[in-house]
Amino acid sequence: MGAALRFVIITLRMLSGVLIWSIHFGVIYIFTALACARQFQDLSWLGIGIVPWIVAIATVMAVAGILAILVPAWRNLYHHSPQPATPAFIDWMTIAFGGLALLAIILEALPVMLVPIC
Amino acid sequence: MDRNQEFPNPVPRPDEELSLLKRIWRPPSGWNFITVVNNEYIGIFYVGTAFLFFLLAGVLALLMRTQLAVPENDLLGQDTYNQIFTMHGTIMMFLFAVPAVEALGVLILPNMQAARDLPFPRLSAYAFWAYFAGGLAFFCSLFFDLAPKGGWFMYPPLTSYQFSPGDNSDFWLLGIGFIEITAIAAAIEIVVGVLLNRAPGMSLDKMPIYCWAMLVFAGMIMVAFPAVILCTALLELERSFEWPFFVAEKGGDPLLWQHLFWFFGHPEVYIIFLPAAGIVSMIIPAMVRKHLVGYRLVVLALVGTGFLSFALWVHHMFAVGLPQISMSYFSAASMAVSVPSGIQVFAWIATIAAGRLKLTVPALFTLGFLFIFVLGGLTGVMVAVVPFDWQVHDTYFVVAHLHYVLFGGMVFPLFGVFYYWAPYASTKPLSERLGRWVCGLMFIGFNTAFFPMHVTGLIGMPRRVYTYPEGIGWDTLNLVSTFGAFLIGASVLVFLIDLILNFRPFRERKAGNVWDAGTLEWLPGGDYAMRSIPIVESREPLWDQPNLAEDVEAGRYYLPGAPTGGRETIVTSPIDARPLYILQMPAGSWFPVLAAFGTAAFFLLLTVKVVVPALFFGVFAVAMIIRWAWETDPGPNRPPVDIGGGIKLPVYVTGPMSHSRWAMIVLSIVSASLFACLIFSYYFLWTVSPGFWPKGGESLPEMAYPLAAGGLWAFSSAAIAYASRALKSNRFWTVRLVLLLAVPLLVGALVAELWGHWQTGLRPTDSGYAAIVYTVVSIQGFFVAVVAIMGLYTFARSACGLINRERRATFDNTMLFWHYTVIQGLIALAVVHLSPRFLG
Repeated sequence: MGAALRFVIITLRMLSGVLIWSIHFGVIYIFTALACARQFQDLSWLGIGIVPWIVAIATVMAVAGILAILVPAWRNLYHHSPQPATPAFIDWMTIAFGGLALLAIILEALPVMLVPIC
Repeated sequence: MDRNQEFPNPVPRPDEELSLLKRIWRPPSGWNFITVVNNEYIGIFYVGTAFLFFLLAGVLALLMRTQLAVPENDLLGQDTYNQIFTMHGTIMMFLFAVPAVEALGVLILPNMQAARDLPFPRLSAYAFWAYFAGGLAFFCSLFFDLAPKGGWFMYPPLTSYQFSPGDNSDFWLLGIGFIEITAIAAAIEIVVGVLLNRAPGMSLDKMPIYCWAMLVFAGMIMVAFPAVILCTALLELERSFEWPFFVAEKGGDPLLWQHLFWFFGHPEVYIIFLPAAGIVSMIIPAMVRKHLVGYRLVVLALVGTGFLSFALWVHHMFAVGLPQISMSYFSAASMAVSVPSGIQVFAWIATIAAGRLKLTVPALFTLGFLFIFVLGGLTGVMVAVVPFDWQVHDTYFVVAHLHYVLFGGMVFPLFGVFYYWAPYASTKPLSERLGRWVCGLMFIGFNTAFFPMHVTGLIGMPRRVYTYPEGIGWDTLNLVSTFGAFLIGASVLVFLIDLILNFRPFRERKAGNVWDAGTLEWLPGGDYAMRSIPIVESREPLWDQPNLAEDVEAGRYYLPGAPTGGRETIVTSPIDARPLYILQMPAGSWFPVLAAFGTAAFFLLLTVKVVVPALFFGVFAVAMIIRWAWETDPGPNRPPVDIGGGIKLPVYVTGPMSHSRWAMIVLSIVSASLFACLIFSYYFLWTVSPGFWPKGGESLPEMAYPLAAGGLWAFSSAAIAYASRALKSNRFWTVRLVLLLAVPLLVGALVAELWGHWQTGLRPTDSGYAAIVYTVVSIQGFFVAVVAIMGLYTFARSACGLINRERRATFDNTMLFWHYTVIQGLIALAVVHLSPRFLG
């Protein structure tokens, strides 16, 4: 594999947590803004509003996505034979970015249970 | 064992090797000195100019504080005060803070990474001279009553044509937009430099924290700065041609400005802070002589902050009436970002606790930074709480908070690093005695000036007022703040005296590693940086690799001479820093300097509506850039060279690892960010004013127009791809013919799209919808013009025999940007023509 392609793959994997966080943040912010501007925030299903539904679905998908990348990195780092320094660093950063992203995602999704929508 | 066998190159080295190296890297003399491109020279010019703007904006601050020292003061009139506070904020943010940290990057990064220079030294020179000329001209607007007066964030409608006629706001819009472009140029240099110009062995996990900080900093500039370039362009279009982006009754919205501005403006705080945090992470280990505690956590904090900071922009807009849940998202993100900031603070404290802190001047500034920045961070968490923010919005509490964050977070580390890195650039260090006075006066002055402002704000004093009545409880607090401001002024004066007495740059010998620090910028060397390029085995190689400095100086490591006979450095792989090829670098030239002055003249003349001379200078600048580019892309003009240790490296590569390809990709990311902000603007206006959008496709151009435009663009891209294949077999005339035919296809597509809208009767002054549609077309037109020039330039090089299957970096870069422009055009067509038809 060429150095450039290897860089792209490793960087995307390492930053996958925070990249997923940015997509999650964009989705919940844009959907909420649209719901309030176009006044469809009162639509509901099973007694739960459309905005909480979308936020919940986006959050579950984001958390699942992060875990799907975080768990193999965790296994690489802690369950396999000792790695050279650079791959170990990359695995560690993958896990750490994933952890930070999980914290931010949950923190940002929580207000939907506490605050009026519009 | 013979020590020679441990190193890539044997010693003693031939006598002529060092003299050749010195001769090649010697800066030009006489008038030609202005064309110097060596990072140590441009870096010091750059830092010096940024510091000059700090002084100028500081004088403006003292004028403001003098005006506010007593109630009902008539020292400054309202209009003058407005110009002064606008210029103070604007200069500090745009002409001091960002350029200063960028300048330090240009100055330090190559040596810290053991490269001979950054990969595009002429680009650094261009960015510096454009900033220098444009910045000074912008400042001089104050003397002609032409300075902007709408605050550093220039909110419309106050700053639009109705309430701010005249040229004052244009100076801000064109001046700052242009200076941001130079900042992006420097950021491209830094991204490519950090990723591709590190010493062999300096893998990602061994990269100094400062390099990480600068990489994140430059990446954030790539994403954030296009937003401010776009919003300044929109407001300038509204002011000059009455395209109503921000006029509510015509389907615009002033909040669009605030979204775009703060999407840039909040990351800007971290753009300023993160390099300063990187500096602190270099100073503290050197002062306690211990490795930084929690290196990985600090990298996490830098990168994590870089990402999270893009979800904070609305916390400047809590008072504008957004949905409650939206504000909660941003409030939560504002609190989340305090986690990585806290990680860094604890890592610094743990490092100090792990050793014994030498209380030198850099250490004192660092301690001052920690105290002030933590207080600023705490008030930041307070204003992240929406109800609290509503109470203190637009009061002096916010002035106190932002100065605690920015002055504490950036100015204290900057002064610390002036003292820390002065021996790197000067024959003698700055004075420890005077430095203690500087630090003490600044610390006491800062807290005296800004701590009372928390209270002034809490008891109701709004920002930006030029005076206030006596007897409402603000008098004493303001007088104390003014006293503190003059103490800061006194500290800066003492620093200037120290500089005059002790700072002696541009000499052969430097004071060197007086701190016994561990990173590579302290290697001995000269204009050529270091004699040989070491193999790095740890994060602090000077601590962990015995005799490294002596071995580097003796020429034992890689590239001890100049085998190509010109300036060169090693390009290494971005993950693990393996040597890949030799990058041949240009020496000084007048072309970047002339291009910079031409660019500055173009924007400044345009500001005062002197259109024809402005166009002349614009064409002149483009001609100079083309002439400068003509000397690049040398091709494989020499056989691979031996750098030592049995490694032979090519002197030229094309394809994915070409450094120019990386720069082009970074430029494409910047362009994509600009385009994404434009598309956001389109849908934002659609969201807030759907009544101005055509219903169900009526009054839209027939689909034949976008289909024709899209087809022509796609065909032009396919033609360039075909030319690329033809170049592989050296079919030169096919390449030239295709280039000549593909340019009219690009332009023809644009004309079809423009004509399609024009013939429906839509005019950009009609509504926010019309204005944003024509802006999408105009910005695509700008990209088409750039690609057309690149295409014709590539044709010209081919016609001169400068392009063939081995020497094709120019062609590849043109092709890359061509494809990018076509993809952007196709997305633009889909947005403009399909959205109204399907979304209604």
